Amino acid sequence: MSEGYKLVFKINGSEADLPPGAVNFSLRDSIWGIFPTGDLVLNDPSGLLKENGFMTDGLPVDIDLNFDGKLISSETVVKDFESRSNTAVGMMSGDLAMKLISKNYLAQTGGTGAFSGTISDVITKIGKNIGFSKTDMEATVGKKIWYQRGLLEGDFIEDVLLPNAMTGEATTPYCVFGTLDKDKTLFGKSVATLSKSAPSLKIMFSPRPNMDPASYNAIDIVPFTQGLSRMDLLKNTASGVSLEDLSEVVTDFAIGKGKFLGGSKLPILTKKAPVSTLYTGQAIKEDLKFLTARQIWALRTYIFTERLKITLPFNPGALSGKVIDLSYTVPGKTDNEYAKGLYYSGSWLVEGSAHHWIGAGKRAFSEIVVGRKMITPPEGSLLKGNYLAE
Amino acid sequence: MVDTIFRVASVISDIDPDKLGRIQVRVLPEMKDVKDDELPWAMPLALDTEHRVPKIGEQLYVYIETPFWSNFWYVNETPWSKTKYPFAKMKAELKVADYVPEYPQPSFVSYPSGSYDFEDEITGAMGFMHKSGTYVYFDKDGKLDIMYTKSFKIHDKDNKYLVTMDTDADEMVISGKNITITADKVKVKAGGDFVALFTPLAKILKKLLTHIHISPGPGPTGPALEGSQTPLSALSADIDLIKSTVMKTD
Repeated sequence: MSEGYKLVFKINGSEADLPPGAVNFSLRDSIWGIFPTGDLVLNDPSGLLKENGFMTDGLPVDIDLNFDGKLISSETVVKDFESRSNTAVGMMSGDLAMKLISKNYLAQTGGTGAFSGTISDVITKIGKNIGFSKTDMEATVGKKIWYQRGLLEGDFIEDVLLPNAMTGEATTPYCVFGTLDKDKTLFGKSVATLSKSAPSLKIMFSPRPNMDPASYNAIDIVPFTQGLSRMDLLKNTASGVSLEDLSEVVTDFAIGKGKFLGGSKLPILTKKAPVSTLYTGQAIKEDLKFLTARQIWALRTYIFTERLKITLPFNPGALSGKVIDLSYTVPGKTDNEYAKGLYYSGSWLVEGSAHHWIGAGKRAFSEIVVGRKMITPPEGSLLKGNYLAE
Repeated sequence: MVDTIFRVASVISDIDPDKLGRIQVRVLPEMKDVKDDELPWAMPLALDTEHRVPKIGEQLYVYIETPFWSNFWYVNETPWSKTKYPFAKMKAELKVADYVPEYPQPSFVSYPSGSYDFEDEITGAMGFMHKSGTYVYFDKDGKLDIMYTKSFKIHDKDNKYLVTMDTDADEMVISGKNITITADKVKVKAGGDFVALFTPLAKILKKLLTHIHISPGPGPTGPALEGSQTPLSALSADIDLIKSTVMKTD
């Protein structure tokens, strides 16, 4: 193991003495997911790991990776596994690949009860029920009785509660997520609130990485376009918005003109006609207020118009929901002179983080995907702000 | 994406505090652990002109908005798939005049009590049949046929004016302060053997009294009285006692 790394495995509650060189793993979290996940690949040259029950669904696997006093900690269970081929004749040997998920996943009950109150209150209660030791919820508006009806708690939150959740400002989607922090906190916050928080990490990407000793130096930064819909946004048509997502909550929407890449038109919802044809009864007018939340939720894939994938030396502080302050430099007027790049530098929100242990090299590194919005929504848009924009 | 599904649910309460026709339902098994007071109120999926609130314990279809399960509507009938399609039953039970249901007519509503509302949308015949067999029926030409099985009553709000027919009492009663029958001829048959011709005797006698005629002859149109004959006004005290009597004519 590299000097400074301390890797602790616990299998089924007992510390396992696995050689670090025979192990590869990745641990991940995201603001769009409740349960942190991971992959674990164990070299099983003799087949004894399989023989001793490592290929068991629900097997508890805890991984702590400590580096320089900073810890990343996961308490997971095996959700799935595979072993593709044997490496020795007559033995079920070879790599054993396991999909991991937070142990809170197994605490789900799929209950058939009801929850009454604000969505943030309901999620707080559910979070505790499924084993999150802490919750940090931004209050949502609107009270109602919600029926779990046998859904797993995670599905109930993501499919039923989140689309109806909005904070008082009601401008951005509401995210509920667990991270790889050692406190095992379940967070619930709007993207706007997350974005407005103070940067917790300074990251520099420059040919002269030691310019700011307070910053962590990025190994690599590339634009990350997976899941981005920039081409959709550039279209002057309504097809940029997922009509399937929106059809139930709006009967019309407008194409506004935003300041995106020189003022291209931006398909974006306004407050026009926020009424579905289903909502006509006197007794259910109360539900109208949740329609705004659903409109905002339907726009979640458009919430970021810029994303970067940043590779860092192992950094447990780079977790989803944090804001980073990126310093990117560009060549200056003279040799060896670098100036701050104004476009990419600035605040970015960490949407997802992945922390990798590479057994062969006995080293760890972190990858984060960060996003921001670089548009000025048109007048009347439900997506407000210009947050995270320079 | 919001969609809708049909599910069978049990009626838990029919007392809608807002009196909007809503019922509280429990969808099983998804709501088996929900406390009664937290169960959803389902709106009627019915015409604006309809009102029938299902009873507690009834099972019916509810129409649920998914994935949120935030709005519920109910179909105001017990699902026929649980029993049989009701047309054959209606055809066997609907006994109204000479009307014969021919599928797919008539459109009808059968009530849990056994009564029917029906309308033949081709011919225009329509009616209502009570579970007792009593019916009110308009045939295709609008001819009205009312058949009662026990009694029939038409009356004002104070029962001062009324017409009743009661099969148990074997009686028909017409009551009112003044009853006027205007006809050239009134025939009354009381029993099978008597057909009587009534003369409005009282009216004739009153006429005689208001005209002072003295006549030795028989009748009001005879010559004036002469001598010491007694005027008919002396008989006035008996006029109100005059009653029509049934006279056998043949």
